[in-house]
Amino acid sequence: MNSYIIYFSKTGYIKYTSHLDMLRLFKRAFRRSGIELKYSCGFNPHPKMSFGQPLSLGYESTAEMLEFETDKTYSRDYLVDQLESSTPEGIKITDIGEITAESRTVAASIESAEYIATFPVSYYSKDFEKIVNDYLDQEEIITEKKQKKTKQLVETDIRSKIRSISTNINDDNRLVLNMLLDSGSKSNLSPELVIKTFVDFSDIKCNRYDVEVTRNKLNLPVDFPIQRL
Amino acid sequence: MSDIKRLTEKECYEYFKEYNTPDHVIAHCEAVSNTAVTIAKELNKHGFNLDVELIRYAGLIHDVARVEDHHEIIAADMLEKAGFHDEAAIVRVHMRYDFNEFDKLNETDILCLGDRVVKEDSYVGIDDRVDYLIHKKGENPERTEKLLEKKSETKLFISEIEKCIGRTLDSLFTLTLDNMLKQVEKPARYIGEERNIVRKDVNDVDVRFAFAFPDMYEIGMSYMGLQILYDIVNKRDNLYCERVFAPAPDMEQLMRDNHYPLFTLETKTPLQNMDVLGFTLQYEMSFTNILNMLELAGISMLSKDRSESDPLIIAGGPCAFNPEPLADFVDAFIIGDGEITLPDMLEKLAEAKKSGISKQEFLKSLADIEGVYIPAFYDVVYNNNNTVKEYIKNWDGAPDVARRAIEEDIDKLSFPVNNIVPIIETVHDRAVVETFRGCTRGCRFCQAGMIYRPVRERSKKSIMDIAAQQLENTGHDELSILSLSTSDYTDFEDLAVDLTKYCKDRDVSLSLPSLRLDTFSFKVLEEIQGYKKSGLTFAPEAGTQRLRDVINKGITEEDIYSAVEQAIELGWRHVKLYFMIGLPTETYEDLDGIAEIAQKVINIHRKSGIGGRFNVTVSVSNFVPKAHTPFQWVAQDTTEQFKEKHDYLSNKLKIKGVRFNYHDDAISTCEAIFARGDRRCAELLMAAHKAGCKFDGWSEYYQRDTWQKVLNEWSMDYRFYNERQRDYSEVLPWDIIDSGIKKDFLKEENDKATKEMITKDCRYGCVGCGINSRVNCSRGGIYE
Repeated sequence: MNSYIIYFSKTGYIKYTSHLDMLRLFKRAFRRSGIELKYSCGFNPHPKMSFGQPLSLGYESTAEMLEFETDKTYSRDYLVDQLESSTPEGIKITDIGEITAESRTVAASIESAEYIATFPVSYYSKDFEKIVNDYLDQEEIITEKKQKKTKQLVETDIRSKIRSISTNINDDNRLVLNMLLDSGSKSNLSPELVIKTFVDFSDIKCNRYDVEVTRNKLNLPVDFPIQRL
Repeated sequence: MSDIKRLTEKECYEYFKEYNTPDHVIAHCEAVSNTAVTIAKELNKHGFNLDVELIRYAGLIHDVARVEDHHEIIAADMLEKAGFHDEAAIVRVHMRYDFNEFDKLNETDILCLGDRVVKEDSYVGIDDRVDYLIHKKGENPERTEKLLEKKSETKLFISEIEKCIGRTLDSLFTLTLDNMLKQVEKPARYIGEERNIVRKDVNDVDVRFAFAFPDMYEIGMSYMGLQILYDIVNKRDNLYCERVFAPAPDMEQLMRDNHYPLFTLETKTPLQNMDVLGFTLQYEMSFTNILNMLELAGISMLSKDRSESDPLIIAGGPCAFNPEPLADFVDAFIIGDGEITLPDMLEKLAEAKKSGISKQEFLKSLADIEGVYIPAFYDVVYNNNNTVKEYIKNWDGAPDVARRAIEEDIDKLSFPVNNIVPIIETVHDRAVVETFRGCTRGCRFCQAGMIYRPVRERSKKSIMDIAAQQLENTGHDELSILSLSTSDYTDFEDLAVDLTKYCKDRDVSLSLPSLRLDTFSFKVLEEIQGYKKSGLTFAPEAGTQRLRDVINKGITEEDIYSAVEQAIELGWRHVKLYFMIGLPTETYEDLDGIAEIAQKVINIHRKSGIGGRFNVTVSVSNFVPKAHTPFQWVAQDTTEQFKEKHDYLSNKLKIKGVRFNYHDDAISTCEAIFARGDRRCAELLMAAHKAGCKFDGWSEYYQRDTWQKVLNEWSMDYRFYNERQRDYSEVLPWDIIDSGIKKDFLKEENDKATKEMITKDCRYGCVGCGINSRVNCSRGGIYE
């Protein structure tokens, strides 16, 4: 049995594809590609394929991960070529890795994720470096979060899940935040909650739809047995 | 330019700090800067060479000293001193400024314009801004007069700019598509990034065609006709077919608020810029969406209001067999098979564009293409009793009737194998192969059974080839076959065996709709469904044998019961039964029959001793008489009659294990009006559209009260269209369309219906529908 991880980017309008639709999209891409996935046993067999971490609708990404299992062994070039030609244009395969030892799934192992959020405000309009420091210096950052099952809003403290935030400036002098947040099955923080609380804290005026978010890294533990194929 | 000292964004904000500029003033400065920059960039696209950076920072700094008196002088002096001469010059004059002549406009003009169309921190346009200033504290006639003078000056200047950039100033300050997509449900409906989408350089094609489906993406993408025509048109290098669907109400609202015109998915081109817009007419209750889509595209709805530069509006599909309710809106209809007619028409347009002939001349050049109906060439004369008197040609070259296009050999027509694969889930999300067109059964209510004659089959080999290629190119894990009656395919047993094996080997689930349930079919179903037994569906259509004879539905209760017995034996636990109510000659006895059948099916399960859960779903739809069928003359039940029958059945079907579904009665009334309407229905359609009706086929969007109001206010009595028995001698609005079936045959069939006489399936002997006088009919009497 072989375990592979593909890294891919998701840019342009395809960012409006939801997580569930991405699953279907890749399931079909594999069928088109001729790469034979291993199937689970049982009454309703499904292909052994899963994403590292769901990506919110509307986010671009340069660093998505998808792991899958096959019985046959495939070469790097074959996998890249076949998948590249079987996915829509907005999805580009950027790298392929192989899991070299028995391990937990990628999804269960991912610890953190890096995001870049670009705000429609001038970097110079406020002392954002200080504001970010003050924001992070708060003992707790309380916000409301919708519970998955009950759909009720509950208060939650997100401070401990923010690993770091730094400010940056883009070519148009807009404010950019680089955020490293908990991500994965152990502890997870959606950038949405950071954006919301930061906008409130810093009193910047912007509509949510004017903020662009890109995920640019998913971090696995250093000892995760993965190797570039 | 490099030696000129320019202000930077950083410096601007440092000055704000130094001058204690309040936050709301900074926000205003940012807005003016952004607004002026947007206008400047647009003008630069149209031949100007404005210094955008100068405008940006002069804009940002212009009110830095606003808390002081004569703030523009203070700011300008400060900038001058710091060496920012150009910025200083602009800021100095911004309070009192007269625009240059348009062709001599400069950075100062643009910034001052920006300042005049922004209120506080957002773009509002000149009218709102001046209005705000007039009513500001200290209102007096002198000031008002001055402001109005400034306003008219500014408006003149804006109109010059708008002429130059070819769009309104307002349109520059609306949300982008990206902004809108972030706010709507299922944004992937509008992105057009699917696998197998066709990309072409729009500069390399002669004719741009938008296939318009007047319903949501999920519905439209389930329709195979779209994939067929998309494929056929795009196979020609000089033609480009793109797609457009009706936006869902949330997206529509944003588009309207932002004056964002309806666009194609492939290239996001506004429909206004297409050469041809082609609507498919699958069901009457999508007609309001057609008007809504035209409106969203900014295209005049009525043909007579459209100019030479507007796209040509065409339409086809089953509802084009009575095109008259849409005659005022559509330039040309395609009647019958579109695979040849549509590309022919587009090729003709390619030639016409080159030779530069007028739209009128072009339409005339279409008249000799079989399957084209151009309503503008005919005037309709009505009798005093409101029936049609006659159709008079207003151009001699128009044909007497529009004959349906019939492709005799569908095996020769190409069928798509590179289907677009939707990103979001659609109603039918699967590979589809058409096995044959047409039907020999002759059910008297069925329009499809009449207008698609004769039966034309695809060879088994090509069906298998298409299925294999489609599955390979799409990655679908479900395959369905498309025809009016699956089991009637000549070589059905062989085909079913081969498809079953092919799909099983590849983990593809096979769906065989409308199977006739005999022993063989059960064998196939057992093979393809295994333990996953979905519901088993029967369509007796009527509750008694008498009424089934009237409608010529050749299914007996014994057929149903023996099939149900087998199905229960094999493990099926759910049976669906489809019926129609309001059929000609129907009595309450026939309704009782529906309940009896449901009860008997339940009893069969009880008697079987198998036990466990067992459900029967009874679905009832309301009969809508359709054009070109034997029942085209009959009266439809009233909304009230339908309601009474639904209530009656609800009561009768209170049987344990039976679920009862039925369709909205009022929708069926509306549907019937358009199904057999004439050109005067345009007024009704327009009124419904203006009242906000859309997505009328969706029960959650159907506006019952609004429709009722529109119907009552219509200058015609709507009962004339649905509750009236028509006379054989009457000229019917759809007589202008020749479906290939003789009207005499339809009359005979209707007469036989009233006598409760059946007509056999025409494979057991030709029944004389007349189609073989048009084309070769290979199925007639093959079992004789």
